[in-house]
Amino acid sequence: MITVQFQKADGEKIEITTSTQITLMRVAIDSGVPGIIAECGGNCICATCHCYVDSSWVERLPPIGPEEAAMLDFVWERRSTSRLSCQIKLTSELDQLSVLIPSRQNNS
Amino acid sequence: MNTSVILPAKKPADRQIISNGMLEANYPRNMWWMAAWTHEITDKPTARTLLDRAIVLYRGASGSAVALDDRCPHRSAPLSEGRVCGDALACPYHGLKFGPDGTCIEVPTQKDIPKTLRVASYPLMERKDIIWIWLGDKSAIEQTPHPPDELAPDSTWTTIRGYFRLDFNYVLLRENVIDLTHLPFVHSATFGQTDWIKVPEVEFTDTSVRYKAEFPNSNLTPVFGGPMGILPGKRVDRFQVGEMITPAVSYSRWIIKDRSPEPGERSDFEMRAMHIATPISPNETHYFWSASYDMLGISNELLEESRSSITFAFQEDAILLAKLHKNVKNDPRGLDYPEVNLGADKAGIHVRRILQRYLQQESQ
Repeated sequence: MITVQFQKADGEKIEITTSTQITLMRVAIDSGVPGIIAECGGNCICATCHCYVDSSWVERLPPIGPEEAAMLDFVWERRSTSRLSCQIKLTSELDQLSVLIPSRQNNS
Repeated sequence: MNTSVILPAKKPADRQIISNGMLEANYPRNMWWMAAWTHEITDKPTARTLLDRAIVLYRGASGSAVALDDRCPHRSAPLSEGRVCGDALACPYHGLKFGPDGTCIEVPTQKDIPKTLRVASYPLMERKDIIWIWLGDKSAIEQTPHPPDELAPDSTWTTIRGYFRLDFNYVLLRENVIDLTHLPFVHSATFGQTDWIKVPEVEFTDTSVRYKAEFPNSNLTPVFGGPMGILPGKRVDRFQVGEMITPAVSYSRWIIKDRSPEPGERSDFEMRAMHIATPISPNETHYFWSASYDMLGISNELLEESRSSITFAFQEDAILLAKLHKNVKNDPRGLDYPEVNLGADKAGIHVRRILQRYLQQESQ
């Protein structure tokens, strides 16, 4: 089990202890984390599971693949730390991962 | 906690994540669009609106097809009402004649022909059964790939062809044929392919998108099974793949394996379809289709039956999508309406992404 942290735009922090080998989006949806919508169910097509990864984690995450890169063009307020949480598969190396939830998703 | 930089992001102009632009002229001009089936263009001029432009198509005495603006620069009469004289086209109003390059070659009432008296002539490319037209910047032709040939690879295939005029934006057709999860709902009574309720595998490049789906031990629509002699109700393996090659053209392939063929009968079959769209305006589309079977000797009766089933099934899409188009067009909110993207929209979203890329390139 590992622990991941979602920080809402208003500053509130939500810590979740989870198993690995599932995606960060799955953890957020199953725990009802507000602000992560994931309309397409993890198919990397809706860009509504967007999050900002804490800058200390950017380099430690699996790299952005072509599908994610294509969809990151369409997120709300993209930053250099933007990722789609459906493309972040959790492993034990990602224990204590911390992400910020954007103030909105692109069509919400 | 986030010391990140805000990148210059593309903000959606409306509430579609990736807009399909269906209420506007959302068609790239610098590419080959289908103008007609080869057999349609004869020495009787044909009027056809293509990408908002009224065009006249005809075949001159030399046998080459010609495309000109369908508007005489003298008094705006439609040249398509005129007649072909040799390689030229004569205006029905005052008899002015225009050559294949659009230059006026005869004014019946005067000897001097003004240099200004000319109509635009559009490059055509005639390949096999299709005439393609270039309506964009002529300097971009060379770097643009040739349009695809029809998919029937050789004369051992049997092809049927058809045409529809659609009352909706062409991108809706592009989205419709790249995502077959509407089959169980729109076509339950025709294609009856009710197993199409899964997200296919999707691959894409900057210019094309493709889906793949396998349906082992499944039924095959009689629309395709009939001409190929596969009995209704027979279980077969279906492998389906489809691709948008350009915003004008998609194809689909149905690759069938019969694991228990009747004695002496073949076990492997293939059916291919082409879906070619040419915008008339943002609200109307020419839809040229063909279906090819990898065999010869299909009876005319079976082919006609197949043609009418396909026509009937496409009509189901045509009616629904025209209503969909109206639904958006008549709503003052237009595309500024929250649109949800499901997992099965993957190929369709890449259609839009590719289209945006084409349009952005052209606006530069």
